[in-house]
Amino acid sequence: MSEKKDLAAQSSHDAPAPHEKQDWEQHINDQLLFQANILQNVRDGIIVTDMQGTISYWNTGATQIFGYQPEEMLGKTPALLYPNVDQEQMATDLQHILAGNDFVNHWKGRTKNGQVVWVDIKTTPLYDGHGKVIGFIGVSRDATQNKLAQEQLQESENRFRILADTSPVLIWMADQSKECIYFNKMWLDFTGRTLEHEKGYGWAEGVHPDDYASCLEQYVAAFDQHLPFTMEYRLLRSDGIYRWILDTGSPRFAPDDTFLGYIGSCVDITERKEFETRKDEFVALLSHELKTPITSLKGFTQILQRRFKEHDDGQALQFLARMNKQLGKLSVLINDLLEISKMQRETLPLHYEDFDLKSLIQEIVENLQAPTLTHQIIFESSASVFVHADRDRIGQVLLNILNNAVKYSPQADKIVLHMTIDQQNVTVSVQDFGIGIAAPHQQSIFERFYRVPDPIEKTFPGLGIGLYISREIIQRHHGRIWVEGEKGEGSTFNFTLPLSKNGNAPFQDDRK
Amino acid sequence: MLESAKKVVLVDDDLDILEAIQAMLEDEGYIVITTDRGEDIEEILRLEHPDLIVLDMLLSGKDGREIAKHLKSQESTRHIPILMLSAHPRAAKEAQGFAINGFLAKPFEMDELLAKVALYC
Repeated sequence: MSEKKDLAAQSSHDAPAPHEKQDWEQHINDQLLFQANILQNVRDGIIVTDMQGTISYWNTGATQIFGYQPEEMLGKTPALLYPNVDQEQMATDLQHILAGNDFVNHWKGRTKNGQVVWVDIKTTPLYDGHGKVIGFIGVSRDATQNKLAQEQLQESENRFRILADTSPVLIWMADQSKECIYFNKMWLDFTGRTLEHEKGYGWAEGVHPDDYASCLEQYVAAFDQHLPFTMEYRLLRSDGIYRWILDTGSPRFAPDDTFLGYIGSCVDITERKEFETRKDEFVALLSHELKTPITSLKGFTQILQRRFKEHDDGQALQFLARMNKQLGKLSVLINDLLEISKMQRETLPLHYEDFDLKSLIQEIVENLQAPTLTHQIIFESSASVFVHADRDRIGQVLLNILNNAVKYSPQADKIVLHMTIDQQNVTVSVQDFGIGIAAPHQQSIFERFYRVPDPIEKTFPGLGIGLYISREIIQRHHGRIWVEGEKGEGSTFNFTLPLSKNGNAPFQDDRK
Repeated sequence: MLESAKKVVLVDDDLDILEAIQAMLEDEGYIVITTDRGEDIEEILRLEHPDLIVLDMLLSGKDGREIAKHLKSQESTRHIPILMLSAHPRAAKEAQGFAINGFLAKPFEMDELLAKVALYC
């Protein structure tokens, strides 16, 4: 800054004149050298031409941009640098500059080795000491990086549009205010409406009246928390038919984590829904057809049981009791089949109530603890623990885990049941002393139809859906279910349930 | 016994079930009139005055639900309790929509059926 100021001061007419001629010449030389150095060291390219456009000055900055040395360019014209720029236009531009206007442009140039270079250019007239225009000064700055970034952005934008518009899914985008700002071609083709109609909340006009409230509720709830969501609703197609849509929305964030809105994609799941309905109908029919013969078999068996009781035929009675028990098992299997079909459609209804988990466990243990049961179930309970849950379903989970504990510990004679609580949850643990489960299977046993692929385990009958149903039930109660233990050393099945907000005594640690 | 014997009309299109339930009830001293055709029920009710109708829900021919609806809408038959049976998984829920008196899912334990029947007779 101070250098510039000195320079300005020294070059002005008020500057004190040196006393001797030699000193004066020296001073002028220093000045010229200094100014020439400035021009040379400026990072921008400075190119000066005469009135005919012939280059008379070329600085280092220009060499850095275009690759030509000054001696290669002096005497040439800038047209060599801008082969794509219309020469007539260039002449017109020069007239414009001569009229005293600044000229600013963004030109595509070519370097010495043929590379494209984007240049921000500003051209001004060059005046002599008498105010006469004697040429032009062009100041150019390499803007290739900016241009490339811009092009990449454009390309990325184009790629998104092409992807979005040729994709077979319906795509929408919303801004921070929840209003939709974009719908892809597939969406607009599907609804038969224009982008203007769909923008904002216009799209919601096509949502089935019965789904409208829940659809908007889920949308707004997810939006407010910036969480991903999936929802199903019926959307009016251009032919006037409502179709089931599965809509998956994801929040969008800027690189600095600023929330930008949402992007969502939708698929038409009507056919899948129809198929599921048909499948459910089929399974329902199948179970009806299977249960009908069981009903008469069970009926006849029980009539015989009653009649044999009168004749006091012990062995026949025993056989009939076993027949009846097997028929009971068949019924359970059919119900499992139904359950699983229902569960896939997420129609498992839960009937919530506040109840004492301890008394439910006691009830189930008492029912199970028949004299014929080979195991003793040890349940040492303390205080009541109230949960807000579906009592029957939780009972189903407990029964399933206890039955498994008996089934998979044929050599053992006891099962230990614990209940512990913390501030939020109650954990129920069922420990057996049976064959155990190897670590790799401990996750998979909760999957549908999973059976441990082991010759020993294979000898245990079952469909492999009990734990799947249990997990579904527990997860729908916002609980967790898992197993601990090692192969050969027994298993402990645990599940948690959130404590009821009402009815529980202040938190006590039962584990003491 | 004869004076106090209760009369049950049993309608099911599965002949085995019909016979099994008939045997169960007759063993308990009920008089049982059976038919596997829902269409016959009106004719039976013209001649008989049962204490209870045990009716299968999904009958081939005239549907159990329609029969129940019709009987409950008629002055002469409205008072007769109807116990509906079904093996259909959604039947229990559906049965709630009908003016029937009781529902039992198939397959059932004999004791359950006898307890239900005793409730209405």
